Amino acid sequence: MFGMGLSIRANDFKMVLANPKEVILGGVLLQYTIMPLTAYVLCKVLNLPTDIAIGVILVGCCPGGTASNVITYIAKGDVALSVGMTIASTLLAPLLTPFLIYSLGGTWVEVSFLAMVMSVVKVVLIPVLVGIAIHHFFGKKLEALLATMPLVSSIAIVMIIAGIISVNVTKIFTAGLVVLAVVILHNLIGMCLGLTAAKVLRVSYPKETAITIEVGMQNSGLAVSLATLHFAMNPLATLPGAIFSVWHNISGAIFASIRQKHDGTETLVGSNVVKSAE
Amino acid sequence: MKPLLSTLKSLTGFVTKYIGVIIIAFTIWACVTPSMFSWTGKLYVGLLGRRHVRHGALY
Repeated sequence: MFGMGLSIRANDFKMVLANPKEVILGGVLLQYTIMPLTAYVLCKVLNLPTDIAIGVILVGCCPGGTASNVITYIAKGDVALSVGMTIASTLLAPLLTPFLIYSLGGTWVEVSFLAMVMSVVKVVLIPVLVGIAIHHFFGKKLEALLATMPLVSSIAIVMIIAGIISVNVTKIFTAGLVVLAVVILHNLIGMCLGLTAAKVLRVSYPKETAITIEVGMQNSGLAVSLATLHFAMNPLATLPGAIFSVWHNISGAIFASIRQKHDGTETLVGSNVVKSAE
Repeated sequence: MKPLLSTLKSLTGFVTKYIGVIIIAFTIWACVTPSMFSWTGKLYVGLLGRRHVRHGALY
């Protein structure tokens, strides 16, 4: 999250203000309706055990993941819109994520709304705001160093996932297949509904790509953090987030490879419009 | 300093491009040799304000 904050520039906020319709629809409305409701329906329809249901709900209620920006770039989608949507959903996460978990997850276990707000503020908002502040005040001095920040973030993500997997190996081998199936369904349904919604909204092809990826890819690291901090009595709750963090990169990369082959599309990178050569 | 930053930038490009593959590789590695990575879980949870977490329970 700190790395994400460091990568945010003033132009990114201008993008949010310049395209409020797409950012609000894609980044907030679709993000915070499709994935949470899909998670809830999956848990109910498949009658999942409480531990796993909580983990799936947590993944569904989290904001868009920062990996979506990279995947959108690879897919030749609208990167600026992707960044704008991630910023919008992340900044609203301290309120919307606990509210949705409280509303949907409350069916299974008791959820402390205020404690969860504080956790999201601590895990998401503070690191992002500190990152933005450092970039704003020292950006030019640290420009070369900032270019390497994705490396630091990537190493952190890989180490977090490896750490979670290593302490949960036994659980993965016992309940892993069920969770993997649910995670794949959740992600694919989310992406399909995101793409359908984007097509209904009649946005351009690159924007369709960005919205689909944004809806399907979640900040699953946050889901794991919240499961660890708030659902210690439900040991399997960390598992969906851990598996989702691996899976959405695979599905995102496959989706990107399909979308990038589209002929004659416009690709937006920041404020530059580039015609695809393919 | 410049060669070091240049190397880091190349490494950043490689890692961000193949992040999915890297995550899968480390996931399999963590499954095969859990003891190699168990310390990262403790560090991660320590940063979030807890000392130790194993199987979701606090110790």
